[in-house]
Amino acid sequence: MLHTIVPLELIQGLKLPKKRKPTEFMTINGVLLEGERNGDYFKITRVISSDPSSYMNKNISPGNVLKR
Amino acid sequence: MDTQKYTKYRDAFISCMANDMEYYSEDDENCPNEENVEQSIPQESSVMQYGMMPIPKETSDIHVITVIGQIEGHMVLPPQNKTTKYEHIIPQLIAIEESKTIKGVILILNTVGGDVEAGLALAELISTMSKPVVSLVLGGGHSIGVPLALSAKRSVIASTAAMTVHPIRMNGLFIGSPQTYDYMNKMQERIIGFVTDHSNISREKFTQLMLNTGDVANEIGTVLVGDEAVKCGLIHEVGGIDTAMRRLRELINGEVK
Repeated sequence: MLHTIVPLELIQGLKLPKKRKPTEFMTINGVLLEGERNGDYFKITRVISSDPSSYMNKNISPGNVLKR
Repeated sequence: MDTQKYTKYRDAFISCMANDMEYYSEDDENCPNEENVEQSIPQESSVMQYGMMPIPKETSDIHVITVIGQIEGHMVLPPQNKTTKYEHIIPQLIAIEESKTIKGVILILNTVGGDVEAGLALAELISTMSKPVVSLVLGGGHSIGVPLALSAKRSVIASTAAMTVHPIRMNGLFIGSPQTYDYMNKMQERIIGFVTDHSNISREKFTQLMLNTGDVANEIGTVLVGDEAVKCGLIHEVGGIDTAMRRLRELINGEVK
């Protein structure tokens, strides 16, 4: 449900959602991370942890890229 | 501005923000585009090697479990869905239960619902934890989000949050016999039983909300917004994060049972 002034053609996902690559999960130092793997690179899209301080850790914040 | 150009600049801007680089102007040939975004992967210092993660020094005695999107069941949902996977939440809850330092959990809900068994699994686990759990419903706590919100010792709902109460739905091969209806009733009873055991709503009132017509389009059920959920006895109080944390502290300190 949307409530916005943005023109409808600029809103992503109004048509059928684009097929996204299935995400992978990885655990680093006990923190579960979800992200997209691209060869040697792993781009974090989500942190799944019950510890609030893991969300404040800049190194694993969503958008970061980890390299093997 | 046409959509393609907008998407190109938006993606470039996002990748600039993620990589901590300067924002490039339109004419700059170095502006990251689809071809060279991969090369503009940040320098070694900001790309962490596996295993080189400094541990944060600040630890909290309150942990957070978020239930977002759709609660995934025994089959994986397509990738464009935001999901809460029970196989991640359950070990976290066990670890919290076993931990010597964690004193309480705040359960944040913004969910459209999802699989009944997965939702009930989490709800039962949360309701039987020895450490206090306070739930906060933000945005939406629909369908199976209702039992999840009630499973906590105290439940708080934001004034604009909505909870939809409706009968369970099933899809699949349907056998046209009275036994199918009995089966649906049995499955529905799992939810009604849990909700009535863990909240102040009566069975009659909950069934009435569930089978109400005229409220939800193309559906039967009721949408309860904020205070309405408190008035019918499902949720304890209206509030936000401050209320929820205060209640959790009171439960941890033993000021309230």
